[in-house]
Amino acid sequence: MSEPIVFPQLSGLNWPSYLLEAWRTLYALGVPEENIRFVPELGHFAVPEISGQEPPGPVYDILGERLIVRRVDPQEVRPRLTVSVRADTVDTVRRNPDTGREEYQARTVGRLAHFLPPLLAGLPGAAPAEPAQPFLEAVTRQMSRAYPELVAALPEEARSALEVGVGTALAVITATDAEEQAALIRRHARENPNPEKNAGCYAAWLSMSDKLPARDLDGISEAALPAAFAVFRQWADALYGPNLEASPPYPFWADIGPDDLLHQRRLLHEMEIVLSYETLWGREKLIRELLEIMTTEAFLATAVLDSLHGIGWVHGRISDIAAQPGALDGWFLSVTGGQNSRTLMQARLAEWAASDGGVLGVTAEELAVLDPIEQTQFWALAAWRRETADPLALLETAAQRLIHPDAAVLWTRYAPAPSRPGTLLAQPGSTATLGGAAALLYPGVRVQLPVDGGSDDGERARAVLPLLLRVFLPVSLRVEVLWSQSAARLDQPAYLQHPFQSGASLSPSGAAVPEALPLSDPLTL
Amino acid sequence: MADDERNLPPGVQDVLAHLPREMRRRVLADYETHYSPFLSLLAGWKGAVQEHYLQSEAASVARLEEQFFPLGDWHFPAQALAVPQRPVPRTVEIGFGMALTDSANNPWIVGGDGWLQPTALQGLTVQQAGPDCLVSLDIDYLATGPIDPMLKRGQLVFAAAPEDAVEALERGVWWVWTPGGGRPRPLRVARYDGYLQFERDIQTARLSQRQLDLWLPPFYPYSRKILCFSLGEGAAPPPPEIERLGRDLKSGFRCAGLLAAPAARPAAALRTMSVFLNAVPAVQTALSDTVVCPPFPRVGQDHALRLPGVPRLFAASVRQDERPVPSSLIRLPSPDPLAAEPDVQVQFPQAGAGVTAVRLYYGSLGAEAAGTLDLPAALEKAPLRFTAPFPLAGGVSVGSPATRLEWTRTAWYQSVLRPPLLSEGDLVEIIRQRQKSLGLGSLEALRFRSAARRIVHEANFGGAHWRSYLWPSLLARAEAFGAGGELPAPDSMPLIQSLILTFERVAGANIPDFLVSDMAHYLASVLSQYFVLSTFQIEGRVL
Repeated sequence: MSEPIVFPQLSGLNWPSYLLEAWRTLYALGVPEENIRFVPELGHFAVPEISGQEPPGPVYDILGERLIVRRVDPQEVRPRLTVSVRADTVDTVRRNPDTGREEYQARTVGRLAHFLPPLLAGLPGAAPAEPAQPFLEAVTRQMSRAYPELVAALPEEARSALEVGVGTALAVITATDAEEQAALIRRHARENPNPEKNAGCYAAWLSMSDKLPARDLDGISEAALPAAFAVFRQWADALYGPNLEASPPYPFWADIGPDDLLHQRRLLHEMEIVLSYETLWGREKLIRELLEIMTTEAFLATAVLDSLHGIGWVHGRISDIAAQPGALDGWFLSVTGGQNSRTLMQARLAEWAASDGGVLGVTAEELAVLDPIEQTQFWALAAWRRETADPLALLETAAQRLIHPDAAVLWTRYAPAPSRPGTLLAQPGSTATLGGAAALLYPGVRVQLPVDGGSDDGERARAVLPLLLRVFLPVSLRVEVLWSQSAARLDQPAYLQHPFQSGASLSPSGAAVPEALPLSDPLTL
Repeated sequence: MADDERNLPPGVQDVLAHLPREMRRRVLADYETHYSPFLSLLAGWKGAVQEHYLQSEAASVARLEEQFFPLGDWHFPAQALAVPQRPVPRTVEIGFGMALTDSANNPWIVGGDGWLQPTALQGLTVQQAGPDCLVSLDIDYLATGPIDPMLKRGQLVFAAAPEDAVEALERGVWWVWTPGGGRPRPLRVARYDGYLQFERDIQTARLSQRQLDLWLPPFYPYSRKILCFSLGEGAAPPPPEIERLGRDLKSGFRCAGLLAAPAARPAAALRTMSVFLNAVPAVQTALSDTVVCPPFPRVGQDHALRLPGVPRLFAASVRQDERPVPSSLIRLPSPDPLAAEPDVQVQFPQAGAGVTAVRLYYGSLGAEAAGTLDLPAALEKAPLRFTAPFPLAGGVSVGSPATRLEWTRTAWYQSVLRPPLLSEGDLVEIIRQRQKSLGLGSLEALRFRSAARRIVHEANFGGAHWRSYLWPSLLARAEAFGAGGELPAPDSMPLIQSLILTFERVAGANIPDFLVSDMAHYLASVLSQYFVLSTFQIEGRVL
């Protein structure tokens, strides 16, 4: 069991990004993604966007003047959040590309209004939902009517009779004496005189009892199980058997003791659950579950984009309000919640990368060295670049995720600057550094990769690293790449893996010249 | 019962993956008999949702772009070099805004103030003299009056050469021989910036008209390579090799310059360069000037003048009491139902209250101009006729259906994606965007190859503003490009961190070498504005 949490109060007004925020809040609290359900509802204008949550969040007890909270297991809780999908129709002005004139056009708007058409499109010939009816319930009933085979595991007559029979059986088993039990059975026989129906019920009943999995019946011993099933079969005999009138009421209580009775009640309860699965209501429940999964997925899929639809709904055309779009970055971030802009940028980057010529100097062919998930990480990090104060943090994160978890990126602020005739620091008429050596403030980075450059991993790293440097390393910084390898190479600096030599640099830092990296040229003096 | 969940359709598997374990078991147990159609329906619906997702993503992005990147339809003008077809008989004044028309009757204006002299080029000679270079221009003087007043005012010469070669011409020591004049007289050769008036005007307009950010700095190479040869004072006597150049002068006058030890690249460029006398940079736009007097209508804290609409408007400039004033530009629906164009409202601060001149730039074809004129195109202002010997440059169309995606990508990148410190990938991206601003139509003359840093010893800062296209349309002051006076001692050794962008020519693009070289300079200039704080010097080179 996970650490109990206080379920948050999620009701909110029509904030454009609230749907996504509610999901993120629950997810951050440890509620599994598959447990969260968003259920659409045609709400009133004043209805909060997210409401009807289950389980309830903190409640303020007015009489007791205290806040009542309930702790729940985040892994077990299954929140169902009602989302208002109310639609409005507004007139917008659009320029007709053919005539060049501006025309009025009626348009359906609303925070989540566009969600309705695909949901209804899956119900051929379905009647629209009644206003007072909860939306998903109406869709569920429409679905059940449109596809009766999905809710018909038993013949209709048998199912209804079976439901009565179960009720009768429950009444029989809980009756206090044999006379009462007999009266109940006789009454059932009178109310259900059709022998064919009873035969069907009998078969169904037996089928039901066969479906009871033994492993689900905790508390009943293996030895007691056959007896329990036999008792239930005798009930069926008594209730539905062809010689109903001739069968005497079965003296249940005489054959089993109090513990067995308790176990039988549990058995009945389990059977009731299994039986309900075969009823219309049970099937609808299943359909509803599936529909809720679909609505939740659709809501999540469109949550970020809905936020952007909400921009126009809440604020109107921003370009009409302010003439300088450059000043709207704050609005953009406040409306889209910050994360959303990066989500969109990530999608844009991935799309542009697939286009001719790629994006940020990275082409689709080069990206093939990364698998799709790694590409997603790559572009997600790239979308962070504008907001990250330290670009090297992104470079290091990218190297750790895409090359090796222990990759490191370190600052190197000075570069050795030899001073001898003909070098930069010894110009005619100017003073050379005395002693012939100097350190020039020339910031750069050292990328340490615990990968043998000659190994298979090293080959892959050699293909990935240029992409990372191209996108994440500021062009004003020089770079030096240090590989970890088992054998020293003269053409590149390296750290030896041998314990006695671990961390020993094989060459001076200024001598690193990674291949195929024009920007990685060291100081040219 | 489904034998193996992996055999189910992927969409169904995806739906099942979201089910609780117990429910999933039941569904799978009854899959074939009951749930197969329903789950197929759900999978199909899920596909519809995904399709809807893509559509709504596209709609949302389009809406977002419409609101945050109101690119609109903008056509920014191209520049051409207009060379007189015939020499003029006398000195002709050329004023900024002088209207020209081309063969398709498109409007053009002259980009600044200048003049045409009654001269014609007879010959251009470039010789190597040891490490130095000797350049000689023989020019016919066609007027009847004395030649000295003309030389005092100056002869405007367009040098079709890369920037370092033009710099070498400017730094050379020059003399002029005139008929019967005896010994050569010193000649002053300096850049002529009078034809940069359009760029300066746009610089002021840019302060409040953000649409110009998509275009500026313009790639206008022709107005940057004009030299003014005028009589100078007090030069040392010419060396013998220069002295010899004046011996065979029979008519007209001869200008000869000694260019001391030019580097290999400019020296090679000088040997192949061509020059054009009296060439005039022309901009493919029309302008209308309106002078108004106060009181002006007010909108908020600004004055606002409403003017009749003009087609393809792209900028407006305002001058109050002869001083430029930042102004913004708004299109408004015209109250006239028959008006073909929306009105223009020009807003400017209430700082001054004097006579106000409002200038509207309009009628530009943008990048389309490059495709409408066959070279050499003819420009005309009766009785003057000009030829445009070089391709049009710098024309840009923004927001047209064919280019909107690219421009939107540019807007995305510049607004929300570009990091504070550029990476090599950013260089590639910005170069890709700015290559559209070269305005050479579909011609792709340059391809970015690599970038490399180096630290160099560079003692000469002079003339850097001519190399940078940021001047004068983005940075008005030439002093911003120099570092004179900052060095603490004469023998101090300046070390400059430099970024060299290397380009390669695209085979098959028929564009003169000097234009290709300037394209590299232009792209490097554009990139340099992102490196001001890191004191990078950006240099563009063509292999």
